[in-house]
Amino acid sequence: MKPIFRSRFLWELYAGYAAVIIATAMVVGVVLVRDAEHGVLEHIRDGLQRDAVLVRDIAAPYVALPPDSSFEQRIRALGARTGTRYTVIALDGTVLADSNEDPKTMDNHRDRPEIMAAANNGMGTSTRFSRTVSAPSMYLAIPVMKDGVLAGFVRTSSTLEAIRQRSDAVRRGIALALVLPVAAALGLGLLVARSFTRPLLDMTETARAVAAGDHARRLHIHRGDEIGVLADALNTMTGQLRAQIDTMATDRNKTLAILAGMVEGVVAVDREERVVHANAAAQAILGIDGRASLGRRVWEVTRVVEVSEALGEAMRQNRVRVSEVRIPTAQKDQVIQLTATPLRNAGDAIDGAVVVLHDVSELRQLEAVRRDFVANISHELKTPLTAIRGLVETMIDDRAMDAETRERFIAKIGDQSTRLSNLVSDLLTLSRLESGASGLRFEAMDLRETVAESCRTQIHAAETRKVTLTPGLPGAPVTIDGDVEAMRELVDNLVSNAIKYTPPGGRVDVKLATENGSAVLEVADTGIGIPPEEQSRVFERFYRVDKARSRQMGGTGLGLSIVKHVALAHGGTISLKSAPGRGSTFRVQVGLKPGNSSRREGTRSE
Amino acid sequence: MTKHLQIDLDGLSKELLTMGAMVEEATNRSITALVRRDKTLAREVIAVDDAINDCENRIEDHALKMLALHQPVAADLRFIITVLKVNNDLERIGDHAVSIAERAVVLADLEPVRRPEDFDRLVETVQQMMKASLTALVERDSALARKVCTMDDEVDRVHRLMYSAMQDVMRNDVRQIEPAVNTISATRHLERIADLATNIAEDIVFMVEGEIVRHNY
Repeated sequence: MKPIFRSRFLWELYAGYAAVIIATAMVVGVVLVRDAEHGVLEHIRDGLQRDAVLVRDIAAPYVALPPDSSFEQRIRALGARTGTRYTVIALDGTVLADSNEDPKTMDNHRDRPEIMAAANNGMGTSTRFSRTVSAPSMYLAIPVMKDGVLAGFVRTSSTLEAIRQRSDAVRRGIALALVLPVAAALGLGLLVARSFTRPLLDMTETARAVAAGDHARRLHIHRGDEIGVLADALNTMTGQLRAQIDTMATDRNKTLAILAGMVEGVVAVDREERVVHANAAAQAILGIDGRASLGRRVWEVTRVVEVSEALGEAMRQNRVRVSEVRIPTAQKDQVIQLTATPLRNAGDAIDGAVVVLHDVSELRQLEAVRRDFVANISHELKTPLTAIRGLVETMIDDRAMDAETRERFIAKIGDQSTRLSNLVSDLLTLSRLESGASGLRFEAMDLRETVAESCRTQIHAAETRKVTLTPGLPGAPVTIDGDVEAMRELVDNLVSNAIKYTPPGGRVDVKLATENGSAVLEVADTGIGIPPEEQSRVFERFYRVDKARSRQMGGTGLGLSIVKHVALAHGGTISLKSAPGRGSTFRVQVGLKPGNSSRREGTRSE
Repeated sequence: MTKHLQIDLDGLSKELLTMGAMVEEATNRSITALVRRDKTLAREVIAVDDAINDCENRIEDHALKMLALHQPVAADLRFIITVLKVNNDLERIGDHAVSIAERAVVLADLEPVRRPEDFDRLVETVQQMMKASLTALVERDSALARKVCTMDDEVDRVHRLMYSAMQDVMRNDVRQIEPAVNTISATRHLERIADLATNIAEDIVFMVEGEIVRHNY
């Protein structure tokens, strides 16, 4: 069966219509048939009556006489010819003659309804079952008058078989005349009903397809009536739905892209604390697998208890909750700031929570460095000041101080003030470097000259400490784009450090070369070296591997910090290779000034 | 009824996993404190033990209440029994973490002792076992739990090595006796943590498969 015929709407629409048509046809048919049957009966009665009148004339002479066989023969012959049954009955009811039966075997007919009616009214009819012919029959009787006196009755009868045959024919005719238009009407009705049902079915199917996600589906119903309007409205709705879904998808992708691009970790959970989203940063911070964690309880996903605590509390207390958790590892502490916010749905009810994980390790470390710096600088400044104050106060109090002691004190005050001045100038250099390139004056300069000069000025100090200082310089100038002052500071610091930390008899090798478009300065010593765990910290301000020794050497603790900052300000790098007891090698790499002659020569010299 | 049971089971699971996370964190922190000679961190571990003990009591209380109230059968019953056992083991691990932290406080003030390289392996294996047993609990992964059981052999081997290594240290340098003794003590606690992690793993195999595998490994 085609789907259209399974449509309930079709049958609901059509059943009423069909019922009305069929009922009308039936009523018309019944009325017509009854009318026709009535006509047939009338016609037959008329015939019977006519026959009765004719037979009466024949029978009139015989009714008052006893039964006569010739008369009987005649009636019988008459009946056989016309097909109608004739009965002649005497006044007392005795049957005198019958066209179908032997009158002697027949009952007295005086009590037959048609006879009684004929006796009273001049004519009587009756329709009943005749035992004589074993069929329903119609009887018509009229009185026979002899000389104005009732003498007997003539009865004619016809079986209803004949009547039925006639009326059947009439019925067939009428039925035939009705069936054709009814069939036409029904067929037409079906077509009309279908024309309403089909678009409805199409719409249903399309609506289902759209709901299932096929947003490209459109209705192709072009009609001017309400159904066409409905179909257009449906198409418009589908189009808008698609546009809205597209917008939502775009928004969602945007949001996901934003979340994925965030440095902060974001974990969102639903009301039951199941993870609905965890961005890449969150996965990295918490060490979880994003895909595997979706839909799982947050406390199953991460072992960082604070995360689930923050989410749960944000939801329960309906407020933003900020906390911090420290995750110590073998190398360093990881500090994560957690900001948990409850999520609300359209009805403003709490529908989950989101926690933002912000890695503040570096921030906290920087804060610690700053704190240390302030503490260190106060300490570094206070030490020489305290010494100077002590010396001066002693000199003031002790007027009787001998000249030699006084001289010694003054020399000490001089030393301490030099140290203070060094410290302050190093701090100024550092702050100039830290403020970025703005504090520096860049120009084309020959690094070879700077290194040579530095070695020249420090050769004396090296000799005093019995350290061999060997400068290894290239034959051509090494031109870089740099600040002469700053670079000299860098080289001085590296060379003087190397001399300071190398025991007598050791050597300091200073080597300048060009390599892949960079100037490379290596200062290698055979000194005390730096333990591996301290190597990453020697560039920090005021960091000293051996505190007592450094001060004794007159260091400010800022030298290597300055070196690092100068190198960085020149876009260069600094690295350190060292082993305790075997010496250290500092290597500074700074880009050559592009397009100068030294670069070509440098390349050739390699 | 079943729904209430399910909610309660979820809650119990959350409490146990939270406790597991706390204990794992305490273990890791105590080890870090030991390695980094960080007294502050060690004291933090010692301070958090009260919270772990409270957690143990709460979980036991809830589990017993659920047994009485719901009278669970089959998998649910095995789960609650496992929770009770794991709960106990976790609390013991927490105690060992405190002991390690106490050793770390003492060791931080003493001369650093030269630990054999195997010590790093021991620490790493114990941390892995701890992590894997809790992951097996979360994932109800009996295969992973069985793997944890086999890792214990490695811990036992390194533990034995540590004894002889520390003996050598003490023989060579009398001043190193105190730090060496404390280090041995810490190592012993680490070995106990590995045993308890193995217990947890065995309980997980029982919970998932219904088979008792204790003493097979």
